[in-house]
Amino acid sequence: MSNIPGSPPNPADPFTRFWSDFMAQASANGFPSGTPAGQDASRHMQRIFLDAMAKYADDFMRSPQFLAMLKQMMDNAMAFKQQMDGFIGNALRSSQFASRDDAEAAAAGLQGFERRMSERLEEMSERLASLESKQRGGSASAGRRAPHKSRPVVRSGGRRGDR
Amino acid sequence: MSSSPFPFSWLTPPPMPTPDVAGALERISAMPRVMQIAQRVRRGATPCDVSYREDQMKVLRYTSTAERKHATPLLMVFALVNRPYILDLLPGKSVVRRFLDRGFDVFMIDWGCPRESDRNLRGEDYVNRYLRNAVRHVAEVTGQDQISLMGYCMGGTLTAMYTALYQETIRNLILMTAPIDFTPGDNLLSIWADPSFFDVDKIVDTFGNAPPWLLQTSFLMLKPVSNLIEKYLGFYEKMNNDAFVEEFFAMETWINDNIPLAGETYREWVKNGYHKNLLVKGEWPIGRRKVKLSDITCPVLNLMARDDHLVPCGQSRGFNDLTDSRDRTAIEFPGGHIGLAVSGRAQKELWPKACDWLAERSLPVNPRAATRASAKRTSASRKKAARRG
Repeated sequence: MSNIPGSPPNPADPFTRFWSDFMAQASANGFPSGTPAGQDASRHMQRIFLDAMAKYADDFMRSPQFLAMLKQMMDNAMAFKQQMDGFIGNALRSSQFASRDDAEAAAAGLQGFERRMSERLEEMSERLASLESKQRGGSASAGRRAPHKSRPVVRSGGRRGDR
Repeated sequence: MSSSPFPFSWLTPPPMPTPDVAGALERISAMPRVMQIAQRVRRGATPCDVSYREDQMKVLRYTSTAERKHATPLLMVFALVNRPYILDLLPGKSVVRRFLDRGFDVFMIDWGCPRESDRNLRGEDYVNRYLRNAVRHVAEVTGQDQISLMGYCMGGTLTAMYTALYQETIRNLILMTAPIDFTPGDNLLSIWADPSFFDVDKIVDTFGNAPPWLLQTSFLMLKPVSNLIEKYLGFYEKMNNDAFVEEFFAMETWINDNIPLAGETYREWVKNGYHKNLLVKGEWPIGRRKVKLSDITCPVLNLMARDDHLVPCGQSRGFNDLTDSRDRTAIEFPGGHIGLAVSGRAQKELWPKACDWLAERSLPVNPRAATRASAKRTSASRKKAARRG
């Protein structure tokens, strides 16, 4: 935190805290006197360093500064994408070619049609099952569905898989 | 330590570690072996056939020489954001193999990779169409009225929704680290999804499908030190250990095998889940209906990872109490989100228990019917091999 009251927080504060805390921990634990030098000592130091880094990285990623930075990065990425899409779309339209937007609009239309047809078939199937069970004289409780059968499914592309 | 002649002993620098020259040379000499192992990484360890296809989705049926003991088949459903072979990563780290060896008929949904034109696929398409058709297919080919369903992560949420809507088709439900309750907590994903910083509408309208780089970056950044530094330090330490290297490359292959997520599904997931938490309120719309978890009455097994940073236990813990099942089991196992499937400890301790749980609640096989079915499958496989050959 900045020492001057009312002044904006110093972006370097988290890192300053990280280094000072790490050095404090390392002095207390990481520079053991009397222990032999070697792999164990360096691994121990490494562990303390990485744990300290992980803690402060986690704290930083929850901070308003990081969230604002994240938002800015996403906004920039989206602005760039929109510019590229606009440029390519204009070029394609000028050349009388279909753009990705046109293909997606057609696909969306087809999928919407498929969804509506599926819903209608589903409704009809439920009503048929209800009529059949009434005819048989069995109990037709609300929401009860027809037993499993191989039903034709509106599928686009693909084929029944290999067995 | 002998007393130093230097009067200010506290200024004495610590003894410096000697460089591990022998270890470094050993690792350098292991490089050709490491490259060899890297080149033979496979995606999935257990042989399988494609049993059903619909658009990009495939239903895989795993083959096994183990005796079939349970008539109730098991269909595994992974999340939409990664490939499903994490459940079958390596021969010794395969949840699929665990269930196969216990005599289950195991199927898995491979959602495939959404195309640009799939950006309008919604949750109802995955639940009411793909998952429903997959369940129907599995029931049909196995001759069962009901099957067991197991969902992992987002796949767990989808399977919970499916079971609530079509309970009569499901005999048992297993969830693994499934996000159910998105009540804002202190986990990073919930914080990053805050609508004041994260405009999901703009992202989907701009990119269409949620791009793989966005999803992967957000997962990696949940534990940046572990994922970007410690992992590689650990690799350097153990790169002369073949088993470790094989696991490392298998995991890395999976982690980097990212796929986009259908745009409208992503939009729904963030808004209905992270922003409005509709599932626990019974208000999440799937098609014409709203999902009510209290419609789930079958036995449920809720597996959670105690150290899960992606889906904290708090997001899954409340699931059992939201159902109307009279047979509810919850296990919080030590480990992380992916560790629940692939860690050595989970393979030894957790999955045998899960197999026992499912075995107790599955219909046994009719021995005579099993022999006929097995002979039929063997004959079909031989014919297929002959056609290929």
